[in-house]
Amino acid sequence: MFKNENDFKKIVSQLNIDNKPNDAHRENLRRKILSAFSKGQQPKTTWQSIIKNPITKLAAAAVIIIAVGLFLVHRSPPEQTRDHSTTEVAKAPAKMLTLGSTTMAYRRGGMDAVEKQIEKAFTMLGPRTTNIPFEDLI
Amino acid sequence: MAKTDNQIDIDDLVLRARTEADALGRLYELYYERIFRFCVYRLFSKDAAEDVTSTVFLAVAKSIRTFPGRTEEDFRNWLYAIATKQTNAYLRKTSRRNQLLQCAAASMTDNCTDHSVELDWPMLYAAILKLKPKYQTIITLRFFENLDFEQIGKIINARPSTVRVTLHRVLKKLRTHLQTVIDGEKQNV
Repeated sequence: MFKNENDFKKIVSQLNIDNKPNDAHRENLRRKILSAFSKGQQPKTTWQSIIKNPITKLAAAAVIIIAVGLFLVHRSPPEQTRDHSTTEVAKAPAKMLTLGSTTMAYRRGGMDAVEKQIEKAFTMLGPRTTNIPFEDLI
Repeated sequence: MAKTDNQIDIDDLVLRARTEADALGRLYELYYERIFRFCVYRLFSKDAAEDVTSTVFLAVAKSIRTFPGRTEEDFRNWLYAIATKQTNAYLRKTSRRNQLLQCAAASMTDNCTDHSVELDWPMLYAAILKLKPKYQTIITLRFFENLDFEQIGKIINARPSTVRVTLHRVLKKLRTHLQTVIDGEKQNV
């Protein structure tokens, strides 16, 4: 057993260790590393240079996510941007003028939407007839 | 201290190796044996050492272009740092460690005479393998590669004084491990 550092050094120097390299492996590896080196010399494509750097990689991912998000928003716009047309609140002119229907229109678009809905209802009903039969009045 | 002509030549090779395959090939020839030996000391098996040496030099070939060092010393330290990382990665798998231990144990058996056990390389390796990877590196660099504390510090990214103190503690641990290995061997006899 060794006592100190120098003692250990002596033991190690006396060890019989087979550490002779294999010439075939040496030659083969030399070819491989030179080939790997020359491959690295070829100019990189834009995509390769983006992927290589973590910052550009993150930026590319962010751009892709934003693009997908914009595409989805464009295809189905959110509730607020839609046109508050009267047809969404009610379809028949009589129903457009009920309290419930006008309240709903007010909630969706304020007084403008209510006015629009009423106008639309009257347009759909057509011009008022001048001669109203007595039976109808009753 | 003034550099010799040979050192200046190698410094020049290190600078040229970033762009010239010929210079890289010459550096490879200069350091292949050294790195292979280091891998044998860390891995015991020559086959494993060949695999790891290949990984080390392929990593060098891929990243030499961005290597910031300018001298032979920088290159050597960088090379040893890569080799240390790769051997530790190899030894991280328990199955591989066990395989190497079995290999060392198989080489030990015919070394015992008359109930006394003489210290040999397989025994020492079995004891070294029980240490932490960082300690194994320090032992290998100091006693097998004969590097000084400053060089070891640069390779493992520590101060020379830290390396010195650590080595002192590691040798104590190694002595204990070695005793365990020798006792086990005596029982086998």
